[in-house]
Amino acid sequence: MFGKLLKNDLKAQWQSVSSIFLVILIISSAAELFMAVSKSQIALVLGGLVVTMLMLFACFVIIIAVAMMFSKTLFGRAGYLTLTLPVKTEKLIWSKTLSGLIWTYAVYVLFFGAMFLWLYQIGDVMGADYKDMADQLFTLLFGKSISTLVASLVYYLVWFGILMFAAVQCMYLGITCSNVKPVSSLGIVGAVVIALAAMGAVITMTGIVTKGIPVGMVVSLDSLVFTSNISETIHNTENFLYSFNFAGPLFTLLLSVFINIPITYLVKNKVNVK
Amino acid sequence: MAIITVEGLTKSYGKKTVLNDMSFTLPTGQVIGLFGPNGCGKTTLMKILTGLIHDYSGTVLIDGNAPGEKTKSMTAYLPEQTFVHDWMRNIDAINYFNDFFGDFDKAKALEMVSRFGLDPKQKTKTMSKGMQEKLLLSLTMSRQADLYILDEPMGGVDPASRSGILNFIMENYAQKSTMLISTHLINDLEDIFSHTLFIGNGRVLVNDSVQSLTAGGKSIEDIFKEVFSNVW
Repeated sequence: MFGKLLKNDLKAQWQSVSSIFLVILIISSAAELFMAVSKSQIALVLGGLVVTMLMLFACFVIIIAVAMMFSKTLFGRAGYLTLTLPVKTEKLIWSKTLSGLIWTYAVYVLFFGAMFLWLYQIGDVMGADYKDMADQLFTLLFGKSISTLVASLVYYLVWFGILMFAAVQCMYLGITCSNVKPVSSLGIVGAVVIALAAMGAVITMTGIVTKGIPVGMVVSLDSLVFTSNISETIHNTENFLYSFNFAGPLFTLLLSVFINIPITYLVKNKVNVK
Repeated sequence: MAIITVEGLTKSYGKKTVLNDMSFTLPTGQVIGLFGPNGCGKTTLMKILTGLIHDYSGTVLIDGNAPGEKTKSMTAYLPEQTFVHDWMRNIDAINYFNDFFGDFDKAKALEMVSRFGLDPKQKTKTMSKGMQEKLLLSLTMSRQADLYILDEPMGGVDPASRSGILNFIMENYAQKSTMLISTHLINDLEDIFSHTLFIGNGRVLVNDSVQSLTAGGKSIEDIFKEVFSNVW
């Protein structure tokens, strides 16, 4: 039954996010064309800025689209169907969480991917200094060997996915609370305040709890080491680039999973479909 | 045997108490008319029975179970307003029901949709209220449910189509099931009811079989007028 829920939620959300994907595709193609024909540095920088702003707008819109879909299908008139399905509320909420996460994540990964591509593409036009700077940034983020590149990519994608998961959960918590008395009287403001407060609490608690847990990965220019003592490993590593702490992402993931409990409880016991 | 048991049910919206310590049982296998003036709590009662409203006090049981996953699988609910998602075409709505309701008969739904002259590929949000109601009716009546709860099933349908739709409902519901129908169109539906529940001022005013109510020669509409002229 969960598979059917997820399939239908993905399909429903695709209806609203497909236009965003289309906008990204059109903008990226236009930018590619623009950069291919343009020789001026100013035009490239301005073009890049416009693309960045539009992409950021798309990232904002996807969040709104996912939030609206959650609100409409549970608390709007479609809730008459969704909440009379013979399925457990837990499954209903998890399905909406995963589908919201998948689409949001896809748009954000596309955005960052496009940004990286753009930064690299303009290297030839911007000159040697710029290219050196871009190379340095790339090395700083991903190292030089294939293993450090892959490990860094995986780490960034997973960490980013966990952050998105936490954000979606906090957003859903805010929306759900705004449909329960007395927060309902505050409307959308209540939803935003609760979502931001929940996200703040997740980040703060993660910082406090994982401060003394040094489990993670140390990356140098050519190698990576998994360790239970990050600072000691850094001390013993030549050409050290950066370190990743695993405790933070794992604890954020755990907290985000727990946010599902109050959402489910409220939908199951407190929310009335209007 | 009772399909619905309600004891001490109270539900308020702010300071207004809509259902006030209401208690009743409804028998299995009957077509039950739920009557009452506007705002008397008919829709609220139906939403409680289908598990859409939670903040009430008292006990509500459907076939011995509180509203939840089990009762939802045995109850086919037709709310007053359109409930299919905006993005759906008629065929998507049929597939959606087919995915989630084990008692849903897809072939029957397709046949009903075609009988109503609806295009399976048409988007539901582009259809008129009457057409949407026909789709929802097709979806609801294609289930072989133990309990049908229909909230104003013909509110948006033109008078010419009503008798056809009424026949349609009566032909297609699972014969051993119970059907609870709220309506203001007492005249149009009078013949199909075997039991009635009148509610007003938050309380049950009449809960009796049609046979016993109309034994004196009065119609249900006459009794409705009599009961509610005293209450309102």
